[in-house]
Amino acid sequence: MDKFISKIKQTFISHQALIVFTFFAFGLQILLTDVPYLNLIFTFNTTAFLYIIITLFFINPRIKTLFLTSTVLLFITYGLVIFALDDIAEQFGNIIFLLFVIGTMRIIALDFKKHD
Amino acid sequence: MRYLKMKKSIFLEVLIIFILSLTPLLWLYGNYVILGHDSGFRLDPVSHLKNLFYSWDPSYNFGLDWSSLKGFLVTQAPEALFTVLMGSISSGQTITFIFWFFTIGISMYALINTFFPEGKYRVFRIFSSIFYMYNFFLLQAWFIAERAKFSLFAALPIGLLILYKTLTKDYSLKKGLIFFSLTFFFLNGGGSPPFYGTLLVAYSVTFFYLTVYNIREHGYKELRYSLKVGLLLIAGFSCVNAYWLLPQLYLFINNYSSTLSDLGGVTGIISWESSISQYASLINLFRLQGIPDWYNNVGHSYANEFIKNPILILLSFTPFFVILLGLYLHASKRIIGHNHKLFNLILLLFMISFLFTGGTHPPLGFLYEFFIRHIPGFAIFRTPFYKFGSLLWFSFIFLTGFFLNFLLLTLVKKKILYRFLGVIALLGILAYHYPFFTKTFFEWKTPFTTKVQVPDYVSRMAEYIDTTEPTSRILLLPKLDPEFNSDIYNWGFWSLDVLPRLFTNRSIIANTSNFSTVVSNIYEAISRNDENTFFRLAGIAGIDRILWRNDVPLPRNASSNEKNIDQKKNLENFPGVTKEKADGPWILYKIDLFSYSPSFYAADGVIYAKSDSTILGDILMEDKLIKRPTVLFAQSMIDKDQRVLSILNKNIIQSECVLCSLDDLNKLKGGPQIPNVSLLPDSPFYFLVTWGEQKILSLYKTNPVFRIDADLGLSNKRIAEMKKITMTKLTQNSRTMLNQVIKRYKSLITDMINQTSLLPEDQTNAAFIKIQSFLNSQYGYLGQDSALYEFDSEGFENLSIFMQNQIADLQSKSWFTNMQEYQIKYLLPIDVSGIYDLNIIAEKIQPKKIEIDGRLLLANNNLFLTKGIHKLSLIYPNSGNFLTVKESQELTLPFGKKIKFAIKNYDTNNRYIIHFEYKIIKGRANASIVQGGKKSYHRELLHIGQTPFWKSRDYLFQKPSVDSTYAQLEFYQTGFETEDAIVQVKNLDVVKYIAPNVFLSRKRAAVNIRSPKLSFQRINPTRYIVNVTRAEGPFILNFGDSFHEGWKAYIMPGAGISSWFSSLVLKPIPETQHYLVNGYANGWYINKSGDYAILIEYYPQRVFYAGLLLSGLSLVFFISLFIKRGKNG
Repeated sequence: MDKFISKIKQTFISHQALIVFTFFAFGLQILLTDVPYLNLIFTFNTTAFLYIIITLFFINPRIKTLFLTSTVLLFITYGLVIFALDDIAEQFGNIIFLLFVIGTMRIIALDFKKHD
Repeated sequence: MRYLKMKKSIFLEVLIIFILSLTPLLWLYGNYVILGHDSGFRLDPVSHLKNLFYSWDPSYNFGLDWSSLKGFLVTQAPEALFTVLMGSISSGQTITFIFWFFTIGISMYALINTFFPEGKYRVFRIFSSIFYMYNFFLLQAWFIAERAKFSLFAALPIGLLILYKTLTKDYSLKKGLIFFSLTFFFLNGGGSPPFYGTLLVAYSVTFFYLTVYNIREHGYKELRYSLKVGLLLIAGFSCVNAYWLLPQLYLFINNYSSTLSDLGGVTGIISWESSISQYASLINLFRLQGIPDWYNNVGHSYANEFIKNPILILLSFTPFFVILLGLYLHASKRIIGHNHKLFNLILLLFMISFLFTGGTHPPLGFLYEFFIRHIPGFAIFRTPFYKFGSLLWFSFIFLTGFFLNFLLLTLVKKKILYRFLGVIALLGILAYHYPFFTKTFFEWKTPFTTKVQVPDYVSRMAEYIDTTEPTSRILLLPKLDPEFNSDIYNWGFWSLDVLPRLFTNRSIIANTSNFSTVVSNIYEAISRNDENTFFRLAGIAGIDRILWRNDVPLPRNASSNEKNIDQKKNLENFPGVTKEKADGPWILYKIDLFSYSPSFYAADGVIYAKSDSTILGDILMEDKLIKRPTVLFAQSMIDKDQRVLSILNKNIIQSECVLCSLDDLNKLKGGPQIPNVSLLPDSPFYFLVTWGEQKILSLYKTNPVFRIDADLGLSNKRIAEMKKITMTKLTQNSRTMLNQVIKRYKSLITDMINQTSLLPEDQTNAAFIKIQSFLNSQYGYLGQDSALYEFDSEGFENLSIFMQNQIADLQSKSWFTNMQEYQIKYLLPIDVSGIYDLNIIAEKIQPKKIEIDGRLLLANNNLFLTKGIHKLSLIYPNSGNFLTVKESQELTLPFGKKIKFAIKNYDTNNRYIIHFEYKIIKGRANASIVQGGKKSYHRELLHIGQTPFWKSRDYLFQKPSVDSTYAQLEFYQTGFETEDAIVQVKNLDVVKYIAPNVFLSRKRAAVNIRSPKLSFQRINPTRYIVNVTRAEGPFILNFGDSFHEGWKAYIMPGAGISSWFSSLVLKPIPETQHYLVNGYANGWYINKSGDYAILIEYYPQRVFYAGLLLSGLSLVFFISLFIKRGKNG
């Protein structure tokens, strides 16, 4: 698995290229939302969730970045709630939670290793 | 010196918490009390505590098991104690609230202070403790002062502290065990297992987390230690709480499946759960919101402000913002030092809490649904927000306080400024939770509130009722509004439990949830001024008093004979009903019953009824010679000892009126919905469909009932396929495919009709009607689309003729009521040939002709009927049609105008059934029945569907609560269109609705029950001794409390023995001889002659005693260990 990741990273030498690559993967997944039967599994929400996971998996951003992004998204969400765009705000909330969980788990894991 | 300084600091911080705990002093000022809704408060908490000691609540109608409430013996003890000390309920409640407020705050404080005692964490300690006391999760609980919730909310941090310290060996195992057990003895959550959801998750995560940590640090030997800690703490908890745990366990083992099915099974629970989790989105949870009561509730006293006000919305984001910012800084600076283990644990709990608090709400809801479906017992957490929310709030508040403190320490260098900003944050929390101080949160729906001033006459009546006999049964009048089944008063009280039960332990009979049909029969008898039935039923049920309350509003949809004034007049006119005490709007009546049945009696006649219990009153009125009867309903005799049938006096067989209910009528005219299909016969996967269908049909090859159902379902699919094919392009292939489907449809219909010949005789007619109903639906469905005929006119012409023939054939074979012709039809299922009496429960009109199997009946008595199904027809004088529009009429409904059809010769004593067929040509239209007089009118909407295809509507109406002199059917435009609506109507008629209850009775060969003489002694609500004198043969011992399998009867070796221990060695009468009698009570078949005593005991009380003994011993043990440790310093 590590070999696979490093191979991808070598292929896409910069973060920008990786982001483009993940968007490409996202686009392919979006296509699945229109394929009969498969669209029962690949709903838009599932696809977006997978996209974020895949992106974070490859890009492996710093923990700080995760929390900073969450904070920025939280501010945007505030605006959405003010304008009663509850459904979109809910989607933003889900993404914030995802970033939050990944960041927190990494903090805990680092702490666990550090005090080993 | 430093120690003293620290002590002083702790004292000051605790003082702040205490001062803020005094908030409830603002709430009940002016002699208000919290009462009603689901609060569980009583007007006499001490007496309630005594009653809770027993597992049977005699005050709830005919009695109810309440062994699940044993935990409240401790949880509700503070309010009993404080009420006694303060001498008033209002003051007692206020002190109780202060107690809970303080306990919650100090618990959080204890946790934080143990780990973060340094001065630099002062803001953290105070802020989090205050936030833990002031938050919206608790505020929605303060609405009814949920002591059970407060109890575990307070226990959570303390328990976590003890578990953590014990697992990390800061506390010895013994110390941890003592503290943990004593904490959970006092803070037991009312013994309500669902409330333990949070603790279960929090402590399990803590246990596994620290075990893993310990193993990593010290090796696998730590696993043994952790397991020891876990098992000992569980054992300690179980021992001190055995007094409520054992009864709960007993209930769980005996009732889990039935409770689950009462709640609608797993699907019902998930559906309920989804409504609770509807607003528990992650973004709402980040804002500590999503509380179900807040949304779509315009009457909520404060929620709308927090949902709409931009400033409050911004403030709601602040705590999570603080956490994110803190974590960001932590990621760069590693701010957590020595307490990193605890910090990480709280972070873990924080993340996990979202999964549980959000319930089935996406995106994590699928996991919760999986737990409900697949983890046995998990269904008890059917309101996840309330059961797991405390974990979210706890971890959220902990982290917010910690990071706020950290941000202040980082940003502010001066101590004074640090303190100043800390005070600002504290004031901010209090200001944000301002509804705590406005006191409006007790309001439910204006004018109803949980904060009430109880009128003096209620208290005086309560005192009087307590002087009546302990076995007295009091019927409440007027009955509760059947729409809500709740007790409401003009002075603001609202509760699902009736008010009188909150001040007495006398049996209070009312139509609260799960009430017996005997109760509804009594109410009906009063409403229709039927004194004979009233006295007969009240006598059987042992009701000796009636409490009239004139301060309750009239039910919203009450019919005219349920008007309070009429009921009261009826009641006062009954001979033998006398006023016993009148105080304000409350009057207590005494009933002098000639046939009063005490709690225990030996039946002087046994009736076996193949009927439902709704006709109990009619059965009893049919034979008045039996003074104290026992009625055994066939349904309750399944798996029971049938020897009791040898002492029967009479058999009753209820006759089924065929297609008399409105539901049945509407169904016959086309009820079932046609499903959608995804695959057509030309699909390569269609063979799977055929294979599946063949499998089903062959599975039910020998079961005609299921086979017909399968045929019906599949025929619906064929119809849907036909329609889908016609929507495709017309080709030779599609035409062939259509013919195949039609052929298969016809073979299914033929098969189901053939199957009816294999059905038992008593099921044939129902099957004919069911098939007709489906065929009518299918016929109507195909008729909606003219494209069918364009597609293949010949195929569909043939199909139409086939369906018409089948429907006509089935119609000729079926036996059902024709309301329009005043012919009411019944089926009489006779098991044994013999002489029967036919009983037709009097309607206002008598049938002019009665026919059985087509032969005219001259007398209703002594009919010889052979075994089998007989057809009964009641032919009433044709009162004609009160409104007739046979020809199709197009009604143009202009804006603001109605088209009215007056009902001729309207008589308020009758019920009417209205029938018409309609289709909407243009716009939106509706219809209603209006009944009224000079001053007021009553409108009932018919809610007709907005369909462009012919549809029929049947509706039953009767005299409403307003005085009416006329009735009319009105059609009018609805929606917000200004243009005319057009509706086409035909076959409109209104006829009298007549469908009397009919049953057959068969006297058995003279069975002479020689009832023994009985006397009884009530030891407590769960234990009675019945002395039997001169029993000469088998008899039925009736006990008038609600039937429950927990009631056991033990025949004692001699008369009058009441030794407590004797029942321990005796075997009870087998459960197969314990019957549900009279539709609600207990009856035992006793086959012993002579003089002897019978002990009647409620078995779960014994389980409670066993638990109480264990709890008592463990408590003494732990307290002595605690004192010993204290002495040793």
